[in-house]
Amino acid sequence: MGRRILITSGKGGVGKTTACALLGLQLAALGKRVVLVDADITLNNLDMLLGLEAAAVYDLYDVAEGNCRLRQALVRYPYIETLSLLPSVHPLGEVDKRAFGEIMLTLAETNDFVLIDCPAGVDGGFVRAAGGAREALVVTTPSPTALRDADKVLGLLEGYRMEQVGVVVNRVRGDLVLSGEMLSVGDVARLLHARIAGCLPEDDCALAFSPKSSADTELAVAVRYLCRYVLGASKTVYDATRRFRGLAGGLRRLVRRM
Amino acid sequence: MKDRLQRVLLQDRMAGKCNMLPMLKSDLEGLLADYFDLDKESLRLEVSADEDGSYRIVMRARAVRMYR
Ligand SMILES: Nc1ncnc2c1ncn2[C@@H]1O[C@H](COP(=O)(O)OP(=O)(O)O)[C@@H](O)[C@H]1O
Ligand SMILES: [Mg+2]
Repeated sequence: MGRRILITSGKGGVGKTTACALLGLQLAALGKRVVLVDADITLNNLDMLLGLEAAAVYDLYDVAEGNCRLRQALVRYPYIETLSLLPSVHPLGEVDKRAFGEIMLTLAETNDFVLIDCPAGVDGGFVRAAGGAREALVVTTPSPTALRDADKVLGLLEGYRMEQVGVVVNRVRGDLVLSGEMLSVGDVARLLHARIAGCLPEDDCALAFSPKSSADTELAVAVRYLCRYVLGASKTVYDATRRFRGLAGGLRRLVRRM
Repeated sequence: MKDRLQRVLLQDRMAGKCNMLPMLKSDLEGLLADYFDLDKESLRLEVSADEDGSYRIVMRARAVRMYR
């Protein structure tokens, strides 16, 4: 049985979908069978991010309604054999929690990882998505508003008795952390009383990932750390401040300021 | 920034737990009343967060006498 992981945040726009796609791509690149589930109908969906929006014929709603078989709704990612996507085009308002949960379980039978991209907020959409998962990754940025929402979600998740809950701190700028203008990953851990699963740096090309390039961008390196954490291979979180330390780091900081 | 955020998070958490503070206060009042003839008006309860993320819980109360 594969692992069902909810990618959630409370606040929208903090990078759930991005983190979900990046983690999924990386796990799949390691040969894990991964399905990304879009439980969020907003702009910047998973299908768009992966360039698969044209390939979606049926979606999660159709599966729940019995309009098609689960297999028919899954979209294969052309560049990595072990990655697929269950898209959402229709609003999921009508899909009940039980049906959603059953679909997630079925997916877990044939995949190593089911990553569920949760809608923002803590209402029905959250409840439905959380009910389908056994683990959660709470994505937040180091900003106070995002952290407040993340804290609420962490509180709610306590009621779900998840097997594991970790926080992914996204859009971290090592230079600002060093200058004290941004909370560090350690600060976030203490404030939220939570385990940090990963730290993803701010990267202007966050979405420009190409499946074939193995470009060693800072973000790509950080995603590999996150991936190792999720696989239980290491507890080390990427240190976004490292490249801004020392002499070369000081120069980088100067450049970023300009 | 950290301190302020910590206070805000603490308030959020206590408000989220169905008004935890009054409930905790009345629970403590009941507990103490088994041992003391408590001046109920005097009971003060404060929860604050420390820098390391732990909580400091301070309770102050006055009792007229102790039950023997
Ligand atoms: N690490 C990052 N660095 C820079 N931009 C990012 C990063 N993560 C996400 N973004 C950008 O933030 C925006 C919101 O991200 P998205 O993943 O759609 O958030 P959510 O799914 O939580 O609403 C997108 O424009 C995305 O490109
Ligand atoms: Mg999203």
